[in-house]
Amino acid sequence: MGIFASKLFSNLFGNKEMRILMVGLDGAGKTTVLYKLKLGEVITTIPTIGFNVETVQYKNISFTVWDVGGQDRIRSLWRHYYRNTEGVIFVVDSNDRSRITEAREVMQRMLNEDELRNAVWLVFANKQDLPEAMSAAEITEKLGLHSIRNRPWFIQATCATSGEGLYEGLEWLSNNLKNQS
Amino acid sequence: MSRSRSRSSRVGAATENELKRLVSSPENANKCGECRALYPTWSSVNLGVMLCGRCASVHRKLLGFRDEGVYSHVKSLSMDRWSSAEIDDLANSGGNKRNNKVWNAKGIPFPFDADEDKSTVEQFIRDKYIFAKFRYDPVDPHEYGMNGGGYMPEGIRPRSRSRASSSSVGTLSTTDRLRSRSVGGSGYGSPMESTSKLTNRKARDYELSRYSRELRILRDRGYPSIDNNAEALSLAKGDVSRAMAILDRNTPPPSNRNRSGSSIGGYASDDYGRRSNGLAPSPLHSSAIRTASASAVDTLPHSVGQEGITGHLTEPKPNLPRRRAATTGPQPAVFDGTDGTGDLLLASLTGTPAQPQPQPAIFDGTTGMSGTPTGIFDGNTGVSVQQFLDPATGIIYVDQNEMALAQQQQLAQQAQQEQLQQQQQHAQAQAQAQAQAQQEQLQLQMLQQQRQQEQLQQQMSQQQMYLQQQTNQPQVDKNALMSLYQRPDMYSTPAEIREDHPQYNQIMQLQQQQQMMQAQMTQGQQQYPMYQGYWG
Repeated sequence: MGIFASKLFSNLFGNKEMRILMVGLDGAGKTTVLYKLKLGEVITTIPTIGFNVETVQYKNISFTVWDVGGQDRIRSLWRHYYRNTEGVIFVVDSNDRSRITEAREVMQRMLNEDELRNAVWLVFANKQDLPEAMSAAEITEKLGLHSIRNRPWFIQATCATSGEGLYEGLEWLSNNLKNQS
Repeated sequence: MSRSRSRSSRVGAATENELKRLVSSPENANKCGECRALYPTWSSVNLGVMLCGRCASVHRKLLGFRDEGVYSHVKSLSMDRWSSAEIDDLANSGGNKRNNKVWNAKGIPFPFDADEDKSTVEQFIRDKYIFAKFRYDPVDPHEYGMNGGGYMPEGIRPRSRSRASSSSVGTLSTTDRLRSRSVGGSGYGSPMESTSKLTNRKARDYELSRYSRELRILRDRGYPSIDNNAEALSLAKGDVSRAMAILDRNTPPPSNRNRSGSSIGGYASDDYGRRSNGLAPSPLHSSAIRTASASAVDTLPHSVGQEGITGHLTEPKPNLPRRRAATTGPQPAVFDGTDGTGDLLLASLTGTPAQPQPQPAIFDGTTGMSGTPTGIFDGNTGVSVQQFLDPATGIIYVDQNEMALAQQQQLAQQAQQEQLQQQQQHAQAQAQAQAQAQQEQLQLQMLQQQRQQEQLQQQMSQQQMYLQQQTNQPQVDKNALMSLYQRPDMYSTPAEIREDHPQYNQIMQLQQQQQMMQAQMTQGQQQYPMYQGYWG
């Protein structure tokens, strides 16, 4: 009853919630993105062991963003976070050309997960401030995003340290949440 | 998936043993190579040094760019997958001992800092590896990769100086294209002409690491400002003579203008995979229409098409949130899974208007919050017991010490009252006894009164015993109490919520809801085998 009431209230006030899972290879900048959104500050992150979770409010939508560590051997733990995830943010280090294929493999494996079949897909092409960074178009090609047919997806060039592009990504997510429900 | 995991774990067991052997070898001695902290869990593969978590993060921040400059390939000993080549590199690097012999020949001590500020550590790492201040001999660029050819995995294009010339032919690299577009806004001009002005910005870490050699050369040639040098080198793409030309041209520094090179906020692709479902693309994203009409993946007009939607990018964005000042009172220590909706819950349950701001989870049972179901201990009116509502579990904690104090006070009040009553009765009895002594007639009454007195004495002794039992509870230490408020996890037991409480049902509902929400959010987290199985 209480949950119903709270949902009623939040719908009346236009508040929505969205559960977001943020993944990517280690060192892609996931934690920096998360805390730039949450605090507006660039913090010196330590490599994430486990996860960070924060809620980020944007335009009446409270995004619950789960940021899980991207080290090779803890990637198998990501699947524990798949259930009820409405959106996935896949963060890519645009400057790391040597591991873009690894990122592609990881991402394509996730796209085939059954529990994520309803999740919308947002890719952050991060570290765009670096001069050698790949453009979003290049990353689109290298990740094979065009082959995604069963869900909405979007790629956004970002720079987590300056905050550029982050809210554009959330904007897309919020639009997509509206489309879904 | 399970098959690949089992395979990796089989391989992982061998590498784990190998890494364990390495980290405890005499040259590493199970210590962080920078700060000598025990039990390092990270390492830099190419620099051959074991790292603690803090130093690993600094390495990753300052030296984490795979490029031809200074580079530290930081890997976790336990959480990353190691190839045999990488293990060999680490094993042959000579460990912390050799690393410090090479990079810290002067034996500069690590700057230990009492607070958690990392800037001194960052400066130390910068001096040690980027500026190579702690060594006598110059740096051979191959030293950044211990195995000679530079630690560059395949797939990295070595950034050759010929790229600038190739861009002049016409095949602009994407970066140049983006930069020239975002800086000049005039399309495909020559990137050199449009960006050869210095902005006096601060040097970036990747520039310091990438152009460390060139920066040293420039410094030796008498260009003092490292920020300007770095920027000029960045503009000149590492060419020292061109950087010097830029620096010479810019000696009177122009007024500080915003560097727009990083404003690459374009939407490169906007392909809605569901457009077959009739999902119309949002009018904001004109490039989506473009992709919908263009069947082939054509990136070049695509990025030109971004010009059309930059109007969207310039619309006012919400300001990034500021960290709230620390003076706004105690912050909830735990992640609030409800994020404000708990107020809505409260409101919906109690009918009180929602608080605009989530309150810190410490409630005083007496401060006018009687409407909320958290004011439970109103059984002790007049005595305030602070409670801590753990939003994660919905369990309401009460500080046991303070509760004991409150009960004690209450009992003491009761005892005082009863003592007063007894004294009154006693006085009456004595007066009557005097009357009896005078009259010496009503001995029966006397006996009755004696019995009454005995009974009263019994009651009194019982109460004293009860009081003693109560006072056996731990004494309240003010400091301990204060520390408890900083550490809600120190609270001993959850408080019982009595069934006769007027808001019992509402509280239980709230708790159930919070537990359900928590369970929803932490699915899978309970079976989280983070630390199991890596080191056996």
